[in-house]
Amino acid sequence: MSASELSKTHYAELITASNEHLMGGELPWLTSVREKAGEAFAGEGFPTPREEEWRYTNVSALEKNQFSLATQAGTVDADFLKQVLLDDCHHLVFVDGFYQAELSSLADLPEGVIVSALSDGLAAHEELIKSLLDSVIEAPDRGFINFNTALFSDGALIAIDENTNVDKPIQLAFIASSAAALSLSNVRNLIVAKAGSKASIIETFDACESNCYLSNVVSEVVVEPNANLQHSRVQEESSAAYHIAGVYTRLERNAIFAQYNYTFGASLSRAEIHANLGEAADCRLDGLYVGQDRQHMDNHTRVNHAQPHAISNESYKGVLADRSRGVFQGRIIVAEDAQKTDAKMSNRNLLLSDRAEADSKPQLEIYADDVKCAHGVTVGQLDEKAIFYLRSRGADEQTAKNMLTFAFANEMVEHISFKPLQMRVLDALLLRFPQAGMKKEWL
Amino acid sequence: MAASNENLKDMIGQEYKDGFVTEIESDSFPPGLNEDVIRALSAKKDEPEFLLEWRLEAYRHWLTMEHPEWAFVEFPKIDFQEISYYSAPKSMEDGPKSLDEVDPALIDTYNKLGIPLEEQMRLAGVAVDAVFDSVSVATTFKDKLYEAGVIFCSFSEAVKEHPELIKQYLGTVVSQYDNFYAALNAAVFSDGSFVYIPKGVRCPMELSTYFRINAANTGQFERTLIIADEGSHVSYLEGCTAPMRDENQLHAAVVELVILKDAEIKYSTVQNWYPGDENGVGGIYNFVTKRAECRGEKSKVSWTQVETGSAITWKYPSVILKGDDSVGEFYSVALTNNYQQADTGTKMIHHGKNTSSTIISKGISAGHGQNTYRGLVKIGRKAENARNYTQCDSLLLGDQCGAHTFPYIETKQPSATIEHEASTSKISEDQLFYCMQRGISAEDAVSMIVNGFCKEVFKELPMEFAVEAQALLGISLEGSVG
Repeated sequence: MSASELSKTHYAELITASNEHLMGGELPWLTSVREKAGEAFAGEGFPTPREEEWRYTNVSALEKNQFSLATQAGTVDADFLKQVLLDDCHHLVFVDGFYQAELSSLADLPEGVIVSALSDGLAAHEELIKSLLDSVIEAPDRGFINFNTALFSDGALIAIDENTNVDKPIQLAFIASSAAALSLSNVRNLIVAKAGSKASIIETFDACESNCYLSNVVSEVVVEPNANLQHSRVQEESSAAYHIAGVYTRLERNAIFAQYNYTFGASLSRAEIHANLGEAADCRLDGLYVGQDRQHMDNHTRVNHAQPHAISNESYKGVLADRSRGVFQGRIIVAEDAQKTDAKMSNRNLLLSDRAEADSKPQLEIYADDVKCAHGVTVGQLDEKAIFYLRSRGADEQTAKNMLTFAFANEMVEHISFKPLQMRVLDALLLRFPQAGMKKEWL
Repeated sequence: MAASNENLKDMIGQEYKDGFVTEIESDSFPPGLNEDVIRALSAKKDEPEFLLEWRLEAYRHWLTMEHPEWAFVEFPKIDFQEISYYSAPKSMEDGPKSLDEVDPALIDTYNKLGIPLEEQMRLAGVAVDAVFDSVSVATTFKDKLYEAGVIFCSFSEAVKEHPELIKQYLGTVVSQYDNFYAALNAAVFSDGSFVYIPKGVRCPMELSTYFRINAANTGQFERTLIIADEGSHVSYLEGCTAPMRDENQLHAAVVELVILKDAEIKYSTVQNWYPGDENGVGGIYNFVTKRAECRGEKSKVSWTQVETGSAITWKYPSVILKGDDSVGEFYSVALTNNYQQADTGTKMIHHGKNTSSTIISKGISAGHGQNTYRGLVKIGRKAENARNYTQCDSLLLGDQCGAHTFPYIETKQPSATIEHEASTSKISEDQLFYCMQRGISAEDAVSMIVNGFCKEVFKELPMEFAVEAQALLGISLEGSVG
């Protein structure tokens, strides 16, 4: 049997065996949703590069490992936790896919705001969870989504009440403990910002040790009319790990949604960022991926302009060193009725080594005529003249290059308005240029 | 420009201009495909053994292949057993020695098409190797070309006269296993053009082939091979039309270009196959594999295409930039009206150092047309300082059509510079208003703006073709304006 057949069988068995032991195993509706997803997965398995959407990302390496399902959370020491948690936030901490109430802090949330773990919320908010689960995803290839639905162990439930403003961002911290080696964690987040509300959610992914594991996260997000939601992701998984993530969003009339996606970690990562736009919605998708060694970073975005008058703006930047490979696919779909759409997308890549690779696939699929759509892609290296300029002023070559590389990447960081998050991303970025004198104080 | 505007008005309500069927006896195979058909075809053309073997290898490989499904086009499954794989005008059997011997009905056909075959030819200074269905009809200006050392003949003739060149170059750019339709073509190709430009020769005139599908139920599988030896230069024109028919016809051609050191090929196509009627009935399926290989240093190839016809256009004229400092260019205008579909673009594959490529693609969608640009820019590990500039713009006329852009950009070389830009929009109200305010009718204004939109590509076409292309665009757009 081939590796992919083996892994399919392995996981299909895992799914059958674990259904009733997972969160909500006693609820018939949930087990039936899981069963359906499990059956679909058993039929399709993981996607292969033969599928157009997976052309540049081969998950066969992942299939060679037969990960076992994490059954409980490992321990995380206090110092590490302190590094992970951002100041001035509400925190929801998950270790190895399980909610850790004692590590979380949810004091002084405004009234009418639900922030809890799915496992905790199931009793009080079963109907809400039922209505949100699998309600947003419109992805054509569902391999990893079915996998997630069949196996998710926990996740966050966030519901912001109408016309409510949550001042402090809500951080969802996902940590792989040292016990995570060769395990599998599946997390499902359900987020709804009700009409006229405003909030900011930050998902962070960290690992205590550089173990090999698979982290599969799916977030479903609903932004109701006139609501304003900011969603950030900082992915710093272990350098040996696999990270497969999806953020599926439905924007209703006049909704505003901004997604910032920072990728630093994992040996192979894939992020699907999908947004379905209602009338006059405003959507921003920004991202930065910084690869080194043999990292493979894949970002797939899909903006569906289903209704007229919506605006979307998308900008992704990649910095690829060593033998890393960056993949970007952005698809803008403008439906027949979506007149007056204004959609922009750009992808810029900086290749730092002759073994690095950048693959880009920006796509426009347009069925309406009164639209403005544009995309642009560039791939290049640092400007020789700029390097010369810096060197003529006394910077050594490495510092000059690092300064310019940093400046290229920093464009995606400097507009982060929430300082603790900005510092966190800056730290991750500066860590990539340790050998030359780039200092945070300069900024 | 002015001429095309005036013509546009007269052409409103006009049906497919080139849609007539020439009633001449033709010698066709019954529909069906198997090894015997290929053997019979090969025997009929008196081919050497190596070519038959080559065809059979292709056929056997083709049997193992699956029909590709990735393109953004929709059509019912093709039954390859229902196609007749050979159709030659019967009166050809005796072989015309000169133009006078050519069946007058054929000459009449060309005259109706308005292509300059006889005296007009001399005036226009164009040599035509006209392919009527599958067999080459007449080749003009042969002597003059012969003096220059240029070989320009039908493929079957080249097989007989220059088997060594065929053996050396056939299938080296597009192998007989390349893709589904290329393999099918390799198995059953009936004729095509062959050009060889010797070292250091600048071809004294522009070479031109006119393809035309005539008999019903026949596929047209021609194969063109052009070799530009070191330091040579040639400009090659290709034009296509087909009669009006209710059923769909398949056209699966292969074009191979070999460009050696310092040589240059300029390949221009105006494709006006029958696009089907306004309800999308009938029309040609144009599934073509075109590829050029810049083998030597400083070689250059330039594809220019104006695609206004065919029910479905599915092709990607490509360039493999192997030699250092080689240059690839692609200029395209693709128009889809009514229910036409086009999935077209190019592939620029950079292997050599300092190679550069330019892609300018203009897509126009009207009616229920679906127009897709799909292109690949690939920079190999060794392609230091490779350079690509891509611009693909789409224009939407009407709210029922679609315009799609699917570029693929793969880079493995840090010193490469790649720029890709794409935009989609409709004709701006301001531009229209400006023209109309100056007394230009809406139809004329749209035609003018569309022509302006395509200008960057049209200027790459040879003179006569540019005029024809503008006129074609006008005809193809009729009824979609307003």
